[in-house]
Amino acid sequence: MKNYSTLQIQKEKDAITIFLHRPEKKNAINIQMVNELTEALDAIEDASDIKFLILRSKENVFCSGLDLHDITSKNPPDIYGFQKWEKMCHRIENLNKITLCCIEGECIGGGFQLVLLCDIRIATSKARFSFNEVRNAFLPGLATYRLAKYVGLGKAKQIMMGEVVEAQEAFHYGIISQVCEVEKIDQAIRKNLEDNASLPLSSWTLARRLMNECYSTPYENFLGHFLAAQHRAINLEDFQKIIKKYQSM
Amino acid sequence: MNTINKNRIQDFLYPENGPRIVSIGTANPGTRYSQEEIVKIYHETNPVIVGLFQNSHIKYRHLILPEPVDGIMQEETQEQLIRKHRQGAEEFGAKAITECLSLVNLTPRDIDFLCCVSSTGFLCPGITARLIKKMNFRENVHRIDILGMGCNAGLNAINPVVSFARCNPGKNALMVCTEICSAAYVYNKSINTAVVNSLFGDGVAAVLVRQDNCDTWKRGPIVQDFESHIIVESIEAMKFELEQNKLSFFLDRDIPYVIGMNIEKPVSRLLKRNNLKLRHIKHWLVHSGGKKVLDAIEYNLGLTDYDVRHTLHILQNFGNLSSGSFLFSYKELCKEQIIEEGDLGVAITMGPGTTIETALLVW
Repeated sequence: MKNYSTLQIQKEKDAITIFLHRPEKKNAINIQMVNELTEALDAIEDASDIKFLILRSKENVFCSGLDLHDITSKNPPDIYGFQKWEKMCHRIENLNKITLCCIEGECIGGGFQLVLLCDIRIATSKARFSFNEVRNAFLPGLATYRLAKYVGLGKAKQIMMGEVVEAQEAFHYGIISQVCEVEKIDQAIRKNLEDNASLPLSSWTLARRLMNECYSTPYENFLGHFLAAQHRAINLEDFQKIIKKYQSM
Repeated sequence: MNTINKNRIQDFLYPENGPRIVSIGTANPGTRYSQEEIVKIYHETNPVIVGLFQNSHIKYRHLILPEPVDGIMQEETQEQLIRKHRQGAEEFGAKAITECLSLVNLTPRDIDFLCCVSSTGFLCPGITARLIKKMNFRENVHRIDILGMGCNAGLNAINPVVSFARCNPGKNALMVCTEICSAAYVYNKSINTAVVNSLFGDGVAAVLVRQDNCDTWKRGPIVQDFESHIIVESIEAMKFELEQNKLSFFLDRDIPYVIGMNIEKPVSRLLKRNNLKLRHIKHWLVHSGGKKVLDAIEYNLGLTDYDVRHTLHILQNFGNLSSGSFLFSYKELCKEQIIEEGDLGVAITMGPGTTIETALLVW
């Protein structure tokens, strides 16, 4: 994989780790990072030997949100930049891999948005989550669409107003799936990779898609979607292999 | 102006020029009925059949139905059905052609190649001959009638139309899909006929295809490539059967799943040959076969309701329009005015054979 200026990428067996990497800016998101993430996703999506994508950072901060310094009079805010970001988020949410997000330290704004996209969300006990967008008089992207599904509308309103959520509370609300001590984060990642080594991507990506749609699809339509997805699942090789295994037992 | 550079896909060979769909006209014959109205007109009481009509995916269809006598719908003879098909094809074919040609300031005299597609009636002389007479096309217009191929036929037919345009730059080729589905309407209170009678609607679409250096992406897409797929094991799954000596269309209930299971094959061949990935395709124009088959296509290709929104709209407001349906979806896409230079699209039609036809469109 090529070199990026805002990301560092490591590959180990069937897992690719993307480190957000703008240390001088506390990993704030600029348009270059969005473009590079999009480009990296192209390569990861096409890599059939990769099963896991891990998003994390190397510093004590996961991400400090949108880089407002990136917006200048020469470079005014552009709605198409936000559109690009959302398109990229949608791709992470629906990626043909199992996605993990590991949060160490501050996780603000756009960084928090990234967390909500991932299948497995691990944080250290020092992690703190917040949205600063509304306080800065703009909007936290489609966290407006996703956050309430995790935490309920009441809590979502509090968080959008800028309330800081500590790791334990984030775990309580299901925003993150696991809290661990700072020094145990690598171990926790490894454990998750091991636990899901045999999870079929075929059925997981279909189940994930149905669950992501379940809040906004009427029952009749959803049933049709489910039947189409189930028909696909039972005709794919993964399910056929399982059946063969049972037949030989 | 830089859009094309911004969106350019690295390994895809963008065509300099090629045959483009430069105009589209459509017409909907007969009367617009809500599904409830049809249930009432036919005094349908069987709850299973009423349920078929009350599904939420289709609300309205255009149909040419006879006037009820004393509140009772009269059975149409085969002769009446054939006449209905011929008259509908002539009247509404002409209407769609007029709309299509007027948008590019052409008349039937300017047309060099005429291709008519229909699966809902058999005529000899064919629809091309009748439209040529009715609309005063030139006496030396090339013509071809494509009959009985079913819902997929629009893409089967546009293939030779595109080839003609490619071989004859500057000449005008016109394709007209005339489907008077109500002329293949048998009413015998059986579930099989009710499935079809609750699904298909009448519709005619005409498109002008030409290769002309004066046309740009703003006029319409280049039809760049085709890929077909036939599933012969399912040859009996969709077919005309005789019901009371009339042709009635039969649809096997498993067919949406068969299409779902096979849809990736032609689409991935089409994309791979052009060095493309699914994510590069911005517009999807799918035949409005029915909700189940659209679900199956969505879940097997990873598309969303948004990706096939035009087709869902056509299904809801017009039903399954057979061969011209994907062109109605194309017209809906054009209305949105969101297309940018360099955009790529894939058209998909499905029908008897069982067949899946695909085409790659480049704006």
